[in-house]
Amino acid sequence: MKTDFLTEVQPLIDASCIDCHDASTDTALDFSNLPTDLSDEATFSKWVRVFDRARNGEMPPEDYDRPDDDVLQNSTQALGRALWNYNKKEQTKNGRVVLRRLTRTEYEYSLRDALDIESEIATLLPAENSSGMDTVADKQGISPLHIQSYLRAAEFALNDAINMGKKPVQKTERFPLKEFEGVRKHLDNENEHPILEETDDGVIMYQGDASYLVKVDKFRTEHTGRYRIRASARAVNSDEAVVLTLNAGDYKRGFQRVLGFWDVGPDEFTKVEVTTVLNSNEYLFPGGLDLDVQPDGKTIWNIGPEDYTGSGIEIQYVEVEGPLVEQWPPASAAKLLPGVEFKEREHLGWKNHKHIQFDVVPPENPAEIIEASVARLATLVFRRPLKKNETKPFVELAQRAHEDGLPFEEAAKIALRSVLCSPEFLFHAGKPGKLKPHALASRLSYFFWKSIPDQELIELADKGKLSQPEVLREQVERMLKDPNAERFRHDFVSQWLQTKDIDATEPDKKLYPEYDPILRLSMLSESEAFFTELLENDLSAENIIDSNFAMINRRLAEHYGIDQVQGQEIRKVELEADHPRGGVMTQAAVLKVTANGTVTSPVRRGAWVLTHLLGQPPSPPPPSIGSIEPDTRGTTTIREELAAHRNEESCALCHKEIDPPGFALESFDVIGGFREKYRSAEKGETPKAKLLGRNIWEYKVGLPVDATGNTPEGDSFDGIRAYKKLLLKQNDQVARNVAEQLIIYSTGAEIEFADRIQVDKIMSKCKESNYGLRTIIHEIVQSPLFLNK
Amino acid sequence: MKNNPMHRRMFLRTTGVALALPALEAMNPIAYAAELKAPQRMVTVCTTLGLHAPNLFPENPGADYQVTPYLEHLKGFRDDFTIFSGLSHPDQTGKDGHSSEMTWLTAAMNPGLSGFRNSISLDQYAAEKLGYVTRFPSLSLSTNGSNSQSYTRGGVMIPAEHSPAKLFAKMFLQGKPDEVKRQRQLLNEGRSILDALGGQTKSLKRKVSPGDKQRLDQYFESIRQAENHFAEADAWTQKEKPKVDAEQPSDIEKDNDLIGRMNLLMDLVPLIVQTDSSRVISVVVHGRGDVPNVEGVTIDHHNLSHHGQDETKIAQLMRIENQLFRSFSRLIEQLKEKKEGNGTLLDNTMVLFGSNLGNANAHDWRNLPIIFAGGNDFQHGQYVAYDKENNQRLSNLYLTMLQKMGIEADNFGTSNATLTW
Repeated sequence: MKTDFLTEVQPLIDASCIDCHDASTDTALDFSNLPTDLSDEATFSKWVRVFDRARNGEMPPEDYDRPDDDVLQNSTQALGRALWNYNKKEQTKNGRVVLRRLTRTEYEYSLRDALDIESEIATLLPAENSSGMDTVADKQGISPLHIQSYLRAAEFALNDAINMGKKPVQKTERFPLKEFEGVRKHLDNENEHPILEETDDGVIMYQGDASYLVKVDKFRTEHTGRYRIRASARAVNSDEAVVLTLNAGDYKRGFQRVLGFWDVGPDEFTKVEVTTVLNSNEYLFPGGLDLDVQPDGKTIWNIGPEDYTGSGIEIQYVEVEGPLVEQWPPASAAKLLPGVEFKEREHLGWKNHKHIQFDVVPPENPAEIIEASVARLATLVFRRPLKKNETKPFVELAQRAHEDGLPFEEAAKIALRSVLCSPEFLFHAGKPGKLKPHALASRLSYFFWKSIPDQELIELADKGKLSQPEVLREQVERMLKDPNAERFRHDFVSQWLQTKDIDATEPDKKLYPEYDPILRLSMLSESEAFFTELLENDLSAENIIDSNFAMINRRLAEHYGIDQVQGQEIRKVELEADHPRGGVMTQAAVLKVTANGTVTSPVRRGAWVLTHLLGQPPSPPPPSIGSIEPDTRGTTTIREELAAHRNEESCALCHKEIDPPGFALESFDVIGGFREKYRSAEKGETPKAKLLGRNIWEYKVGLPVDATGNTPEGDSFDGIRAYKKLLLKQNDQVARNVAEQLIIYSTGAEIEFADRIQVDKIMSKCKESNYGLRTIIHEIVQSPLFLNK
Repeated sequence: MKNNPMHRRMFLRTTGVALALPALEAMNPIAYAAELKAPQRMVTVCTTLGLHAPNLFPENPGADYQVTPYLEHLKGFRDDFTIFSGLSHPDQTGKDGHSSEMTWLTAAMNPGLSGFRNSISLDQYAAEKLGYVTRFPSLSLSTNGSNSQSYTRGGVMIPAEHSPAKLFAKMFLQGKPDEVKRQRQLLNEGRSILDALGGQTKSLKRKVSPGDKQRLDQYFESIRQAENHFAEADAWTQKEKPKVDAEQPSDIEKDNDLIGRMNLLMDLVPLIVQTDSSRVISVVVHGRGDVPNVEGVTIDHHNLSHHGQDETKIAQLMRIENQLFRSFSRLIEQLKEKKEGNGTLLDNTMVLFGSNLGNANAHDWRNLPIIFAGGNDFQHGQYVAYDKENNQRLSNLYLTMLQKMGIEADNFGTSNATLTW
């Protein structure tokens, strides 16, 4: 499209821009050579940037003359109009969202809900684009690889749903620790240095990793399924609680995971229980954490159990109930193949690698059953009533295969597999304009449940009532209260705050010996629980900047230096007025994902705050200028290096925005602990703190932290508390950003130029509640951005 | 390395690939069919955290360059490789300092920034042109995790195989007859399903927006390609897999055993090449945020790459990178010691080794370290230094490689010429 906005913008460019941004510029912007074809994505976004910079007064820089008001006004208006017009035209033609695909997370949940299964499926599909929200259609690719993966994933899921394998026997078995093979061998071998102690009730474990001894040897998961696992334990040689963990491991996949963890006190045994999905071939083992060594620093390895006075955990037993199945073949099989009967084989047979125990009784009316089966599944996953003859191509596939001699259920599976690879399932597509009722139902269900709509949503869509404001409001409330809303909270928080990258780096074991799986799990739970707390109680988005409470358990409380929190369940704890915690950016998970495992960088953390809290990502350094060559020799600190950097004009402009939040966050180490001095591997003093009752030899404490700085507005701060107070002035922007992130996430398109006015409207409606999070979500769902394609 | 006791050699039972060639010739569409000449292959190996330039680049260009600490490891093959400086892809400033990892083989600009979509990678371009002349048109391998540098035309990353054991099984272990039968059945089912999906896509296109339609075309095209893949794969399942006189390697469990993991891959590549299982192999050696188990290294690899000119850190970084070079040299050694036709396997295998970062300390993506070894008829044995300020385009080398494979291509990525030196 030919555009003539340039003539109107030229006066501003000539007066205030071209002096620096000409052909000889060091920056990424050269007005002497800037295309005006707005249909080019990159060109469009460049002009948007120009518009924002000029209108917000960020450009020209402070030390330059301000442009004449009239020139500025006329030029920005003309530019804004051109951008808006172009964008609006595109949206009218295609809708904001162009062919959104289910993410692999959504594919998994959809299959789980449609087929009544619990297996992991997402990892069978190609990874999603990692920059920004994975729901954004423009960034989602589709490739032959996707197609092959869908076929494989669907086959896997269907085999799980129509499981003809050996009938799992649901039973409850109690395994006393003293009968574990590893424990027995260890205790009975006189040549071995004992680190366990047998008691009347059970076995005591002390500090030091004994996990290799306490595997539940008589249990191995045969069937992936839901299990209830119990254990009983108490603290020994300790006035305080210690931590009991229950864990699962898999030799083949070479990994271990924590299923649950609890505080257990001294005196009475504490009985714990967790219900969870175990994958086939996993084994179980209990563990103890938070076990102090003797006051003199000696460990169980030095002393042996008899005279040892360090704390331990006495475990009686591990009990397993499961797999929790109501019927076999599983209910999912009967649902998928309605009216089909299953027959148990009398013998398992020799050549039966997969241990098939059941057969489908060949039905008299295979065609009808396949038809019914396809119709049921397609209605569910296409998320709308089927059109006439729509099942035909699927059914024909099965029929042909059946006629070619494939057993009935194998033939039926072909039809069902093709339903699960169909474009009607994989994509959200449609005409531009108002969403059709069933498309709206899908948009809602994929927002809050990451999955297919339920019966109620579909019925409301059938009746055409769903888009009524009151009905929408009720449905949003209902959906948020549903247990499946946990999927939304988890998925959204992990993408918005980037906590999905929690394992991108492993904290240096020497510098951070206190980091363990329990701390990792607790910090993830904290960020999610915090979001949930705002959501449940419609608390103001300003809590994102600073809050007078934190969502923590004992592990985090100790990590944060907060007293009087007992137990490992996350709960709301009031913070003292001058406490550095509160809000999102001082949460351990956030502080961890913004550090690299060894050191922190104010630039990285500052950029995180600008991008993820304020929604104003800094520009990358201009192409011709490399980043600073970090130099950590001698006396220069990271702050001095940055100071030099900021003295360069082309760097200063952005770094005066990026660095301050990063400076304030220097008070937090790579795992989110508060610090006044940096930990060091070599130089420095021995820390005074103790770790598990002993002195710390792994690291030293060295140079002091300087967390002071000045905001670009010129306010100075002396640390994180003062910085957060200053940031509260930008409450509107933080609220707007979380709203924008929710819009992007739920609709599957970035906030475009023409959308801004709608976001303005949403924000003005939420202002009264001081941007309550639940209010924001309601207003988003009611807005044209959500209701239109 | 000859004195390395860990070195587990894998020999082919068939000495030389000549035995396998007549069969190949028949289904090989490229021009060498007339004479019995072995095909050219392409292997790329990228280490993602740079290679410390002062230890790598000689002082003076030319054939009589002085060996540097890193090149010491390749001393025995001096005439078999060229070392380049001053190569890079234009405008790689991206979302973060490591974004150029995504574009090392694609040359797409501004990786990860708003509006970015990756383009096809060198290996996929070659594989697309070659087709199914081998059991695997291409193989993407990694030391850790499924991130690869291979991207489809639409910018979708192809997951990397990171289990040498699995890869070995896929290539060399014959399946049980009923497994093969089941596999074929699945392939056929897949084809008939895809056939039906094609029809549905057409009918869906009638009721959506123009933009949706365009993207559905991509989906449709993907289906067509997947169908083709199934047909080709089915043909290959009917052919016996090559037998090698090597044992299936065991995977290394430890995540931080970077060198062990790289060695396993460097030992597999010659087997893949020699059996002509694939002619296009890309390997990514992922630098990680943990401490690799290299003697004398106590700091995590990523942190060491940001050494800040700290001598102790540079010394540790060098320990890691020395091991990377040793591992790479064992690949060259194995390719060189295997005969093929009148020459060696190395003569018919172009090997590109380098990084997407020229100076990891500053996240600088210019002046990349690039070693180009093997292949037929290159002027090896030199240090070629291009302009530091105004870099030569790495895509030009890629284009040269493509053409050497007999692929008709006028350009690739950001190329503006082929490279001659």
